[in-house]
Amino acid sequence: MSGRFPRETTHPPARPFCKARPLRARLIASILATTACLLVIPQTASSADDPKARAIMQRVDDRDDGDNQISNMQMVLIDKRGNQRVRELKSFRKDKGEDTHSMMFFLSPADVEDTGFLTYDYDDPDRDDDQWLYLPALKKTKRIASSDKSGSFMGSDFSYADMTDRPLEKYEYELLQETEVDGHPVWVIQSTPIDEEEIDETGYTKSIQFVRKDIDLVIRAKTWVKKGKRNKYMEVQELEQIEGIWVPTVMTMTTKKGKETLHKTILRTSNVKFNQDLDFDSFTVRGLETGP
Amino acid sequence: MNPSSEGADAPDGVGHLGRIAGRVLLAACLIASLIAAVAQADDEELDDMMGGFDDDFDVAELDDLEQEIPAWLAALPFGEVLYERVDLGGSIAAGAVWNYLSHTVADGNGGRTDYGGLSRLDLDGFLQLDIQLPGEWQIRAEALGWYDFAYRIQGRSDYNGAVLDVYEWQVDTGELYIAGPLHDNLDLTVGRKIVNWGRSDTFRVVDVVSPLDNKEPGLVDIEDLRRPKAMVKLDATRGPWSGQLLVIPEHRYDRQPPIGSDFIPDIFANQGLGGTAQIDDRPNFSGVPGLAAKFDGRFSGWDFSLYGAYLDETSRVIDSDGTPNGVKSEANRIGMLGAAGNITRGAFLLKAEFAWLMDTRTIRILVPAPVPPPFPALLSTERDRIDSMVGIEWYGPDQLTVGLEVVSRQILDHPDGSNGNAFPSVLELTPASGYETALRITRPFFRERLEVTLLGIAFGERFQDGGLFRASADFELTDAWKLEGGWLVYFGGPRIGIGSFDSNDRIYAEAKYSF
Repeated sequence: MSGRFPRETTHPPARPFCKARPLRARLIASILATTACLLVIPQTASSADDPKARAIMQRVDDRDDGDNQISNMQMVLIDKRGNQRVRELKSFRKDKGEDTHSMMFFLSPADVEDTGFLTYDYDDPDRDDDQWLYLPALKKTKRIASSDKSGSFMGSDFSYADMTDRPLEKYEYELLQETEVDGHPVWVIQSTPIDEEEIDETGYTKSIQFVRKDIDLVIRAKTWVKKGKRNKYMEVQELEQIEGIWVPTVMTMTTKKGKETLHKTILRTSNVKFNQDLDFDSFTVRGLETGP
Repeated sequence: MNPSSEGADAPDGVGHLGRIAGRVLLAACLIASLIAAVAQADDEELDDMMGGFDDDFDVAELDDLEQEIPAWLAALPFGEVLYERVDLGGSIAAGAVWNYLSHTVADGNGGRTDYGGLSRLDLDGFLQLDIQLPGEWQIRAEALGWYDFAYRIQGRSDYNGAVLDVYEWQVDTGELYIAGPLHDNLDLTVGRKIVNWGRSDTFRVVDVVSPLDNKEPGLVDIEDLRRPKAMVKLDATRGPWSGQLLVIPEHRYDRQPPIGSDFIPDIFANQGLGGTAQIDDRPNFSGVPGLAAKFDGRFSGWDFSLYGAYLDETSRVIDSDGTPNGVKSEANRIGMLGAAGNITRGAFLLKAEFAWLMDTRTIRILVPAPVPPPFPALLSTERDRIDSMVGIEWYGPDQLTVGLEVVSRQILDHPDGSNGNAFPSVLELTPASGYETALRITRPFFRERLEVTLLGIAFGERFQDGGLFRASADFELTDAWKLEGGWLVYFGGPRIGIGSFDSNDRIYAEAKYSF
């Protein structure tokens, strides 16, 4: 910074009043240059990748979440008038190397009961996920394409992007602060997508995550939604350690515009079981059609 | 050098330096305060960035997730087992259809039936019982039925018996089967089951197994669209490969609009085609069972299926020996070899289907009414047909989906050897060549509370043979209640099929309670 300041002073702005008062002009130029440096440098820094922040996010990504998991999910969708809708799902997940196979079935509401969703989520960011949807009313499994993950997950405030791991290499990270949330020390890390493609796919221009230092778990996140100038606030409201693995059992996701709450989702997870006898043949169209 | 001038200069020089020093100090102060201000602004910006979370959420206020067995059920013998293993669900719906264009239809008995105004006001019920058995076996039993009050309101005597039979009321079983694993990778299903083959959302190419409920073309609820057949079904899976083998002893057929309904062209009723046909209503389980098989491979980004079938066409077909009394509506056994596949690329899904259908029934008019009127002479022959479909779906932002499908149906060795009608003044019952195009656009709104669908189907390579357009909306009133409404428009063409329905435009609404 000190190297840039004097260099700027040697190039006063070529305006008439500056010629009449060269010293004041230089001072003003100096202040403007300083201001520019102060404003520009942090922004430059914010878009640069911070190795410490990346290392933290790598630890979050590497956190043990079990090789496979079975759980029940309940989503309460609450609109801004307080009206509630409830969706209940049964979820199955199994890791295959760095990839994840998952299957979800609607348990309620009744008119979509047994609707199933099978996903092969690939770690390679250049590879499209494979997805199939089982529609019990049609008695048919339908393959679907998957490039846009910004859409709402089952009408909730969670998007499909929120429900899957995002590739670390698609983001730059910056450690903003170290603070406490509910008495737990946290790192506050800003994630910025490195390209428009990732922004288009997730719908987020940036996010900040609060990572609990003791368990490497994101317990809060705020995201900036590209469309509609909205923010989404994710909060882990309740955590349980199940079979040695920390599981958020109650989470909320709130969509706000300014300070106004537009919609809110409470996501509750129950009957969580890890390391079950799930084989990969369960994560097939056959498994989707035979139901949970 | 003038000392006085030097002495006079000295204070001026000191003053000048002082002024410079003062300005530098001022600049330093300004810079310092600016740095402090920017730093404070940064802190506030960071606080703003990190703020906005709700601190008043109380987990203790949430309902208990664990559902308890109702007391009345717990009091029953085996109540707990019933609660764990038996699931009874279903729906009750009330619907209405209003034909806003006044029109009449030939009833096949020399009269005409008025189909303007209220054409449906029904109560519709559906029950589904699932029983979980040990060893992952399952029993499913479905029942459905409806009663349509419109016929009483409009006057039952205005409709012929066939129309009342098909439309006024119905009670039927839906799926009724037992299914479970014989082995880790082998499942068996025995009973009445719906099988839906193919990749198309709109057209049937390789989908030859389950008959349709086609009593209101373009308007039948998706849940009621296919009719199950009794079968023994084996499904085997290993990795990305799977296979299916069906033995189908039951013969059931499409539920079609009868003569005198709103969906049979006057020309049929007036010429007696079908109206005089003797319906072959042999018992469902007579004759040679149908056989069908499928083999699938599913891979990352693409999949394919191969199909083979030897079974009855899903619809009864007209058979004629060329004499006025020789017209019959009967089953027709066909063979089918087919293939289908999907490819995904980013937001696009490509799909294709192909079927070689052997011995499909082709009905031809020999001569225009050489025998006592009103019957033209008909002759049925059996010909092979090649059906193929290509389609593309685009999954856009906000869950917008746009799908386009085009299907071609070509009869091989068509009897008159051309695509033209040998006798232009009379019906072309089975044209040698046919094309159908469907464009479907769907998008949910209000967090999937409202879903809007636009569907256009056109017949003919230049859409010259008529078609339909449907705009519909589903609205989720509560978790249990759903409202549906729509507008269905038929547009005309010269052919005997959907092209003749252009006065059948209607609006419809339904309220449905699911449990």
